[in-house]
Amino acid sequence: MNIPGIGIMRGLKVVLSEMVQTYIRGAFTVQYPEERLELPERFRGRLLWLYDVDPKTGEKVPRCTACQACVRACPQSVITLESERGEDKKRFATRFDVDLGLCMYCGLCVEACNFYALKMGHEFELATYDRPSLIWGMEELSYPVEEYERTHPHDKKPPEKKKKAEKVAKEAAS
Amino acid sequence: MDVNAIVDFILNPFVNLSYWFSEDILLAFMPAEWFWLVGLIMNFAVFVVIFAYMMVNTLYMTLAERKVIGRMQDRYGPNRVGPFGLFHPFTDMIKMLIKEDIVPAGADYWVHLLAAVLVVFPGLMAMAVIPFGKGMQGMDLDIGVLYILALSGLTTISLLMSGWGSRNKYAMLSGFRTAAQMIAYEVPLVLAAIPAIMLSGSMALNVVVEDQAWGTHHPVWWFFSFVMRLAAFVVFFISGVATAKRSPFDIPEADSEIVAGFFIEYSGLKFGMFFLSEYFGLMAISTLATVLFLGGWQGPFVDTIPVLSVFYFFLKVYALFFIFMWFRGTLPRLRIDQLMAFSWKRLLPLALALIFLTGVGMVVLQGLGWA
Repeated sequence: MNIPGIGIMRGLKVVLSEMVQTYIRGAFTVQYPEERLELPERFRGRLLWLYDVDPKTGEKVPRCTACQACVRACPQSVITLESERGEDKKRFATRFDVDLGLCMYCGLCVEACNFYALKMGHEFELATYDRPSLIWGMEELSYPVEEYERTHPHDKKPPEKKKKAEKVAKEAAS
Repeated sequence: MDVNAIVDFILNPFVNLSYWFSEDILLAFMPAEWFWLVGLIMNFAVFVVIFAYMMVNTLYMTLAERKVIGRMQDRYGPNRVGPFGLFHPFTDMIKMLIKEDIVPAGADYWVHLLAAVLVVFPGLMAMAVIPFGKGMQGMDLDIGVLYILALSGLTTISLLMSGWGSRNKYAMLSGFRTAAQMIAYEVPLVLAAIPAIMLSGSMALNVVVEDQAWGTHHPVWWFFSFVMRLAAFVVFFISGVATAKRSPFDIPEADSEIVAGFFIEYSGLKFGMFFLSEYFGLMAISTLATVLFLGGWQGPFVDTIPVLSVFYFFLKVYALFFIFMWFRGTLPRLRIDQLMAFSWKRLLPLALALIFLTGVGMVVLQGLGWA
């Protein structure tokens, strides 16, 4: 039946029912900053410089070995890394600065890190009133591994240190 | 104090308040040589009330439109500036007032200015004859309907002036297009108003409203008039949407396509005037449609509690406003040739047919004695 205007009536009915629905279930809008969208797990926010916590002493042990892989990988050269060799012949970083204002949050440094030390978190509200305060150092970037593993359950964990455990198991077996 | 007197006052506050502006009271307060001012003060009081109401109404209708259309699009409208965004129109007003007034170089300055001034007048003037409630009318003209429909012709000249005065060929073309649309839709608008006038027998608006009450005519006449008014209301409303340059007939302004059409070169307060004129025009169409076809201020218990008449009137008017906003939120824009074809080929014959049917029905019913 071709009643003139029937299509318009149907369209009007659909829109009115949608309007009534917004009063019943609320509109689609997420009212930032009071409400926020839940971010996906692998969201590339600010860089996290992970540290383990030594179970015996409670000391913070950064995972970074200052291999400069992230510095070489970064397309914008935002990472500044200075290192020293300690008494146990292991390298550690003395200065790890990231210019978060210049960083483009691409994640290439995270992919380059072989020691599971550099990851990306969910924080993105980093705006400040002066640019130099966006250069974050080691203390500001540090982040505990437990917290990271809690919020990123699907991320690959570093392999367990097998050699010592195998040695101990062998000695116990024999 | 006499309780009955207070209750009587409250039941019809506006008419009772207007007693303080009537001739008797004013003549008592005026010194002798200023008697000529009395008429002026009475009319000025009416003007102030209507003007203040229209201003506040327009301000809040802009907010209501944005919120209603927002809800139809599954989002909230403006809700930041006050509770539920209620102070938003004031910030809009301030923004419009502080903008720089730019007149294009080489434009005809007086035509440019006067177009902005002239576009606001017809909407305001139309409100003078509308009965807002029982016994509440700015001016009781015998030819009220004719007066309002004549005013809608004034808007056409003002938009041609704005197109010419902008010294912009696209504004001029848009002005032509808009003038063509206005003229095309004024014909069905006027013709659709005629059945209502025929059925009521008078062009005076309060007579038309009172004629739509249940007891004034034979029930068969009442039903006949109801059906005819409903059909004429549809034609009038569609023509009214087009005359007000609202979606889906908003090719003149088409804010997502051609920025602003004929008022593209206007900024600041002059733009504000065009903006106001759109809402004044909407108000004129809505109130005229309510008065002619929907029974104006009629409703249950209007005789015993006259102040309810104001409530019913505004309920109907704002229901029509909602329908305007509903159309805007739903329907896509018509092309100019589709729009013109619709008016001349569909609405005009339909309006003429309605006049014919109304006339035939009236003669038949009067012959049968069921008037």
